[in-house]
Amino acid sequence: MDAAPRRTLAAQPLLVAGGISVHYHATAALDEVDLDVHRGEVHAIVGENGAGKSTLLRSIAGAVQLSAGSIRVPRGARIEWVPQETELPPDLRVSEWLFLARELSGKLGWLRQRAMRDAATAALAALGCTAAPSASIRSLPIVQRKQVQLARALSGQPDLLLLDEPTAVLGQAETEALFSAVRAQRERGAGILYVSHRLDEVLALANRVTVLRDGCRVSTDPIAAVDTATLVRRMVGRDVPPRARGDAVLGPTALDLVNVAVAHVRGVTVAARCGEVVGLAGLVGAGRSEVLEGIAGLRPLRSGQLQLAAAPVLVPEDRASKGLVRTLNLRYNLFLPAGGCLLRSTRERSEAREWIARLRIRAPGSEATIDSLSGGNQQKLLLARALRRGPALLLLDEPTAGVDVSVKAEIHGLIRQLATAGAAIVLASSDLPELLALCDRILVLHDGEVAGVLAASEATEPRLAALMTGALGEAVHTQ
Amino acid sequence: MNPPARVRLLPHLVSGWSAALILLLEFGFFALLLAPRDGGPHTFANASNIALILKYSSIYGIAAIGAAMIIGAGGIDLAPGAVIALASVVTGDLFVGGGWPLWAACVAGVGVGIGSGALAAVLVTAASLPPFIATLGVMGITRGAAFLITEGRFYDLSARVASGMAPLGVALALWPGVIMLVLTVVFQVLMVRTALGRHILATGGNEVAARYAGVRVGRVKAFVYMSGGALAALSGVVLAVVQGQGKADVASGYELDIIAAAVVGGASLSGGRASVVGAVIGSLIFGVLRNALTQVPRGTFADRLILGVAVLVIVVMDRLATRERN
Repeated sequence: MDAAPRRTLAAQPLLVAGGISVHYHATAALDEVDLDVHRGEVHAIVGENGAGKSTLLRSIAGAVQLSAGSIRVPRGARIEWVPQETELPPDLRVSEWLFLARELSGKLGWLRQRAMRDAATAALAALGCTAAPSASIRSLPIVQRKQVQLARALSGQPDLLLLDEPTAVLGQAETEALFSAVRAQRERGAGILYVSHRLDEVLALANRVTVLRDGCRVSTDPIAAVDTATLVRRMVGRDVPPRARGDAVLGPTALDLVNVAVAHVRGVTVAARCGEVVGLAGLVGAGRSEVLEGIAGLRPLRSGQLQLAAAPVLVPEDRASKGLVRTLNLRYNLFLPAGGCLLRSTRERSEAREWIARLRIRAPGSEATIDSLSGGNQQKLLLARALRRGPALLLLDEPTAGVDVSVKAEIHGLIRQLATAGAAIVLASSDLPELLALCDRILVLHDGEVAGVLAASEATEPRLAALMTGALGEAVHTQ
Repeated sequence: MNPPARVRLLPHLVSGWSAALILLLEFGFFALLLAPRDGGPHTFANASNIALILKYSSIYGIAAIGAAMIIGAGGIDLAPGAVIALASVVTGDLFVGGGWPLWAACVAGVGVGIGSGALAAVLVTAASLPPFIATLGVMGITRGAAFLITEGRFYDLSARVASGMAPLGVALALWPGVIMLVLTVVFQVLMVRTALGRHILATGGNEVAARYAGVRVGRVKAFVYMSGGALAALSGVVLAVVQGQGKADVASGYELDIIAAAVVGGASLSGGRASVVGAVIGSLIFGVLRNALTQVPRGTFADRLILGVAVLVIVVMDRLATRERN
């Protein structure tokens, strides 16, 4: 490509996406989103978990099918996409991966190993990465794997660069190096779509910023026209529902964590009393599930003290992989783990029918297959399994993920009933209105650390969102 | 109970039934095919031949009970053939060479199987090896141990076991079939009516979900591999005592026949589905086929080929039937 046509094209956008929608089954991950990216600009995309940021990049990269709308890029434009999480082939060497399917070869078709190694070293050095080109990917720590992935995209001389949370695993120095590399791409004339939940990064790097919420585009502005507070307000955007919980009658302490470290999370100190609902807020990867799994004894604690007054019962997130056994029917899943010596199937059937009625699970009967239940009813079945054991300490991980509004309201009702009946509940959720409606206190995690603990009276969506994204520099503690 | 629920219950049972149906059809087919033309005695469908089929099938059938549980728990066991050999050798060595009483030699033989199952269980749970690799290793170790013990000799137990021996009034030749049938009932009840049986299928269906629900997955695996080893060893003891053979090279390749019996009986190699009754019926299907083919001209040369085709046909038919219901 020579320089002349590029200059004439510069006036019009590099990428024009018009009214794009992406549906997964019945839910809209993206709903009629318009977007354009010019050459020589960094266009940032921000939004809460599940707002549709990653889906947007995936649809532009061609990794998901559009349900509606169109995406236009000039013919022959090179697009490089760096997804948030990728499995790199662990047995390839770094330079082999960097040049995979674009190997440098000489006249006779021999690979130019030395040239590729040198180019790899240069590409990695530009990101401040010290990994050797001959090292196997398996041997690299997660930070360097990310850098290798970024180096491959940057060295491809892309016209359009799609970066999805590129700094999530990077430290300060690596982030700085990435920023200068991204700026260099911009100088070169590339257009960059930059997804991040770190608003400070967005403000430092982007030319324009688009806010997504629930799959819809809320706004697109030049970066000078917005600040952190405006962005957070637009990301969250909903009216805070009236507080539904009155003054809870609190009993003795059911759960006491002192300075607990589990997985990548550290320094968690929190207690829950009987009759209390304690919330766990945080972005994806902040460590909410890890804390719950640590309490439930499914993960070893690295340090700290855990005191339990009752056996905890966990309702895990991700019904499909951690929740239900699809080869077994509804009844078998409800009575898991099964107890007693000889199982009484007649008694189990009638008890299963009682639970189906009590939680209004829509199922053809106690012997229904799991696949015949909708997602919301599968979630109710998981709750029934936990409730059947009459737990005094209940750990809920995203109990309303992917369920419709009416089921959500029913589940919220159940949680309140349980708390009123004297159970201690720890509720992890990415749904801020849910946390605000149900919890007496909310512990906010950010990057594996406690960013703050807010009492119900002081918690607001903007405040939670600010703590979750790390926009508030210092930890906040209120009681 | 309302009708749709009853319909959905069927897939859990139907595999066992379809295997039973195949066994009946197969038996009827050979009874007709081998019917004597001159009105003489039937050489296939008579009581002593059926007893013979039971006797030989039980070597596979007893071990297949263990295989069904292991496959149901999401595992696989390549060791049974070698464990059968080792148990037969240990029993023979202690009884013939060591002068132990017969019962003690038999108990020791089964004990060796429990030990090899425990080794497999440790490798799969504590060392998190894939079951295929772990049991491949155990297979090599047990077969190798059998050769080390015998150093090429073989133990002829038949000379030492009293020929008219009939414990509890049942002739020795009928004992393998009796043991198989009793164990079938015991382990079928365990799989269907106890918490452990359900936890086995839950572990095979989704190990992570089972663990999150509170199932002690490690214990479940330890149980299936250890009882699998014990059952295979019992097959070996039966082989040694009833057929008089204690040899290091017996039962080679049986592991695949045993797995095939479990799969024909409705076990899914992806885990979560298995039937003890089905596995035993599966081994009877193969037993009938082997027995009948000896009476068909050139049949014995074709039996491996026909067995291979039969496995594929039965499993594909079962797949199609299950898919239709879903």
